[in-house]
Amino acid sequence: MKNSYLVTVYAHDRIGLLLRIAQLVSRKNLNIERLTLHESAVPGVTWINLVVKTDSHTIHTLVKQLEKQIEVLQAFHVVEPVRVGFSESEQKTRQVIS
Amino acid sequence: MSDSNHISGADAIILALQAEGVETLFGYPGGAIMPLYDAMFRFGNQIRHVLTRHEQGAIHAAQGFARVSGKTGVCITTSGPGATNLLTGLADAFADSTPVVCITGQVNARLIGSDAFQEADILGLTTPVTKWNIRITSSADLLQGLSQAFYIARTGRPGPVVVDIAKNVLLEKIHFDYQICAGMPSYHPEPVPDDKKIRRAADWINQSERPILFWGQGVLLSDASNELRLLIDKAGLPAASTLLGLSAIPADHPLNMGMLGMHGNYAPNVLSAKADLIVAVGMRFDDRVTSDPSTFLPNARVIHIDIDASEHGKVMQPHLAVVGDAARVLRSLIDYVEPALHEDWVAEFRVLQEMETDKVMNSDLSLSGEQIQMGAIIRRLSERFPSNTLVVTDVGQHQMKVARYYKFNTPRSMVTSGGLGTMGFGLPAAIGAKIACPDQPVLALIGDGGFQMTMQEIMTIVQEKTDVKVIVLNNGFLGMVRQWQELFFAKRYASTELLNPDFVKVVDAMGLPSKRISTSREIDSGIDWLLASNGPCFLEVVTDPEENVFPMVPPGVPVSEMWLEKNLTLIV
Repeated sequence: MKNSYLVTVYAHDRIGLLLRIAQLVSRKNLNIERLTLHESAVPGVTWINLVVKTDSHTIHTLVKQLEKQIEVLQAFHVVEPVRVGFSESEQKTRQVIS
Repeated sequence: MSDSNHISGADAIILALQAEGVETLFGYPGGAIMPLYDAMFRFGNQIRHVLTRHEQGAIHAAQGFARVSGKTGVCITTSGPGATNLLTGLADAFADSTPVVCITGQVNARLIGSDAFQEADILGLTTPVTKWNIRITSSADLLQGLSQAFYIARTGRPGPVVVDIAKNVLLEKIHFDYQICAGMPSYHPEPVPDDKKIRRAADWINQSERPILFWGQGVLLSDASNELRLLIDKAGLPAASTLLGLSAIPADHPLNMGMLGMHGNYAPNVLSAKADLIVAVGMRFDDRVTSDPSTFLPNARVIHIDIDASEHGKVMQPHLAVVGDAARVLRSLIDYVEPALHEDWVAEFRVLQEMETDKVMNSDLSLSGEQIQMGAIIRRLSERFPSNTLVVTDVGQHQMKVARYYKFNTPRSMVTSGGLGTMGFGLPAAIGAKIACPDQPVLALIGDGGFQMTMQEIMTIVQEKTDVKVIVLNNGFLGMVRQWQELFFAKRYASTELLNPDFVKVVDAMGLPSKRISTSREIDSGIDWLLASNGPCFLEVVTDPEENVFPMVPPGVPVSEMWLEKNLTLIV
């Protein structure tokens, strides 16, 4: 069954980072439905949110592959829309990177 | 480390390569990378540079070097076409987890994005086929970029890395304070395995009645051959290898049941459906191993041990996933498992092995017919060459015959292009293998199709005096495709028949001693000639043009229903 997933990635920013992330998404034959990207509270660390429509197996493999990228500090996903405050893993990341 | 102040970027790269222990470079010069070549020359060629005849040859040679030695292969090319010619090799190294660092020239930083001469977006082009890549446009970033590149290429699950360096960086003066990278904040290459999971894995192994261990190249990459052998001996686990895992355990080990997959051995493929437990170590359940994953391992619990967490659940959902280095996990497992024999289960393998010998191997290995069977000469080479011989193959029927019939005894003694299946890989990879291990004999076994993709590298062998014994198995066809056409396309041989040159004359003209054999009687005299040759030489072996590789798992068929011979009822 297909769902809309919100994927969040925290990564050290550099030229080519977004390309690498977008390429992993398109490699899975998925389209990015929405994308936001900005510097996080920690300088040099970018916060990327993207929304893709896919099934639960594909989203799990995608997030694992995102997390494996050298610059990526953390990647996780939720089924949209579940955006009330911060998720537990986001809070953990905030502690880790700040 | 040198404390010399303010040297050129090009000089700094040479010193950095020396600090990383690099002794050999494979490459091809050109405009944007010329300052680096000039530095090599001025340093008195302290680092050996192997000039290949095409950049693809350079990266495949670097891969061959890395695969047999475990060290990082280094490749240098210029911008634009020099760098785009690396793409096939990068994709190959990425698929087969080979540590390679490619330094590519790039146009001057102020010209980037202007469609300058020999400019190509190498960062963009190489992103999908590299573990990591970086473009360096300022000399301030050069040394850190290089040290991170080497660190990333060799650690964790190894892979190819591209460092794209703008020409101005090679010319700018910098202070040389190179430091070998010891870690990066966002990259954790060696995850600590969970001991509780290892204990549970051991419990499952102890409870199992029909276990099989599958191993892949991860065992070779983590130097875990001894641990693997100790584990299967102690727990009495029948074990089978993927194509790239071959050579980790000697072929004649009683529990080594051979190779998995489409053209693997009959027993492990068929019995995988009967197994109640699969212990998969350092392998990734490639579709050539699983066929349709939904029909694979219907009765087994699966324990998947891999250093790369993204492999868990990618193809097969394991019942127990252990993230960690193979050697480390296996060492713990050896302590926790109980001694066992599984005699009845092993006996089932023996029955199927005999079936395979009767129906396939006896005719494949026959020396009595007039025409040479590929398997027969490969087995004779295996019997007559020393056990430390490195065998490099290309891709196709001969590759599967080598995997099936060459008896590998030494870890890392087999080099082949597995995941990507790159024709043309064999010859240059053999050059790299010989340069990495000059004291071991190197055999390059190549088909007539693949040989013509990179045969210009014969000149690299001649120029570098690299002692590779090149054997071309010539059946006049793109054999593997022809086999599929015979089996699944009613023998419509579309574009698979080759009009070949006289290979012996061509190679002879390039300066290598050459010889052709074409009958089974001549096999031993041909091998005598190879063994007696001092230095590189070339043997063309004319083989049966319509030989097939069996057993075979046809596409979509469960591996347990593998064919031992042509199944006429199912053929189109």
